[in-house]
Amino acid sequence: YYAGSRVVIYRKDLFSKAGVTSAPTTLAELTADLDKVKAANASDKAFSAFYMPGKYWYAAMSFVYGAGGKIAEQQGGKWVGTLESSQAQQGLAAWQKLTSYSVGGATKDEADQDAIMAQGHTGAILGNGWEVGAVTDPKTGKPALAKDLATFALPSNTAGQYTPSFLGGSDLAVPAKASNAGLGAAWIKYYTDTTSQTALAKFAIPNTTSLLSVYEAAGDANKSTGEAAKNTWFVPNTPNWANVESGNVLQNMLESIASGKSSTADAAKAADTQLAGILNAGS
Amino acid sequence: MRRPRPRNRPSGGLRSSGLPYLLILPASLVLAAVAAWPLVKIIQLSLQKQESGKYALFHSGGSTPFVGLRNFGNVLSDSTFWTVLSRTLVFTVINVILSLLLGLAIAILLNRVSTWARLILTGVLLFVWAVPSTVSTQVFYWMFSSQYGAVNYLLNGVPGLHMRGHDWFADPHQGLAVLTAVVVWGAIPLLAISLYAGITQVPKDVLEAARVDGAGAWQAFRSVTWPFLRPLLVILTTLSVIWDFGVFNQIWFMRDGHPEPGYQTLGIFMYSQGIGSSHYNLGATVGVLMMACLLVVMVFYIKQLFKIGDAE
Repeated sequence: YYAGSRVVIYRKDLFSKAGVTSAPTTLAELTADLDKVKAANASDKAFSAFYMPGKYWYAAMSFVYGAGGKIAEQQGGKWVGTLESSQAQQGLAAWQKLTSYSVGGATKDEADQDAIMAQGHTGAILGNGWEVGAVTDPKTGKPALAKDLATFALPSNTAGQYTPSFLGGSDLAVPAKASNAGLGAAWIKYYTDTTSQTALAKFAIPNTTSLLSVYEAAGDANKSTGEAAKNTWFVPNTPNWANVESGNVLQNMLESIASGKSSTADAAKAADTQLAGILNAGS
Repeated sequence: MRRPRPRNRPSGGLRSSGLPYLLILPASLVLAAVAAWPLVKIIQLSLQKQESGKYALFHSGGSTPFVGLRNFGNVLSDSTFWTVLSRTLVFTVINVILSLLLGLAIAILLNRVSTWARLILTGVLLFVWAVPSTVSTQVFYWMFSSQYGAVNYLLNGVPGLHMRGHDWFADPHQGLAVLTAVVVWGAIPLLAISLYAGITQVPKDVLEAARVDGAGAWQAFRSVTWPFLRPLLVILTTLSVIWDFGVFNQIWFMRDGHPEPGYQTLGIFMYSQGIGSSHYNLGATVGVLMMACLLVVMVFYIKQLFKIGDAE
């Protein structure tokens, strides 16, 4: 009933010091800008122009879907892993380029990336809109960075278009054995209809793209996350997907790519085999 | 003055009255409820069908059809299981040997130093013992962090070493070495204090006699102290093997709840198969196999307990 999208959170002070004055509109521009930021901070051995942890599968799969690939699809009633396709490989290569700007982090996920950005040796991260608040949190972050942080939606290879963002959020459901299932369903209907969502859109991304204008109008900070929410991807729609996540298939694949232990092709091949096994179990 | 009458001892002592069994009944009931019932359930689960659906067990009222030893066949024919098992064995052996050597070394040290030093050292050991494994793992995680860890910072200062941003967990062997440090660190207090207690029980006159006969420190240790310590050492070794075989907390929390394939030991494998993926039947199967492995070790422990009991 509400969602969150990921955008690039960056240090505009470090970027402008390196000569980057406007947000990049394509991935090629982004990597060119990151090269400038990296060169400008070459003396700081702990500096990451872009901190991209190795197990950050929400980010990596965004690149896969952005390049036209997907994690898995059904072919003839059976699930097949499609990370070996040329589009997915392109996406993974683009993601791997970003991990090359990270110092450390190949074996970690994004759980502590806000704390790491707060340390001051990071140029940019890919995070949810609320992570800006986490970076500047008085207890666990650095409030002094508040004036130096800005956001932009992650661009794609084409100017004016964005890499799809993983649309994560919260869902409402009625238990199948509920005694008043009809009432529960009616409540959900009223809670998620246009009237309620328009009221909610002032504070969070609503459940429909048609109300994104309300969300973006509520504040400047919402512009990037609103734009990022226009183009999104989601995981394969099957109950067995939960086993893929708990089996860490994507995280292990990405970690071996980010740490250089295996090529994107080999890692994707192993992951595809695992995906097919897990997604087709029981059928 | 009347001589006090000798008490009449019933023949056979207390055994015939059944009193001992009555006395251990409450504890046995608690143990049966807390340990025996889950044990029965786990064995039952391992003999039932593993459905593929994540929550199939809940849908079918907690039990699926009986399939005999099929789950055992599946687990034992899985090459991952054998890799995990061999990794667990190596990890256990290294941890047990290191824990015992360091524990024994500190125990001998405790025996030789002055009272003040002994008190301080024992106090420190007790503090270490009091730290829960999840907490100590978190502290070691921070110390060995690639970006903000103290270890990398300190080692970077050593001329010739470039440890800035070194990722201790990229290579599972290095990561397991860090985990060995955490496990051994937490295991030393019990071993050191127990072995120190054992060393103090070595009869002083035998040691004196050995020294008078011209035995050096090492010779005295080998011929006098060691035989007295051996029963205690067997018990402590057995316990260490059992504990280190099932290490879970340290590895789980050091890898943020997502241990990579290279870090999987049997405890982790059982959890991620069983509860992590909700394949309870397979998890129970691995659990039963783990117990079978440890039962072998238990034989030594129980034999030694009986030997000590007989000696008294």
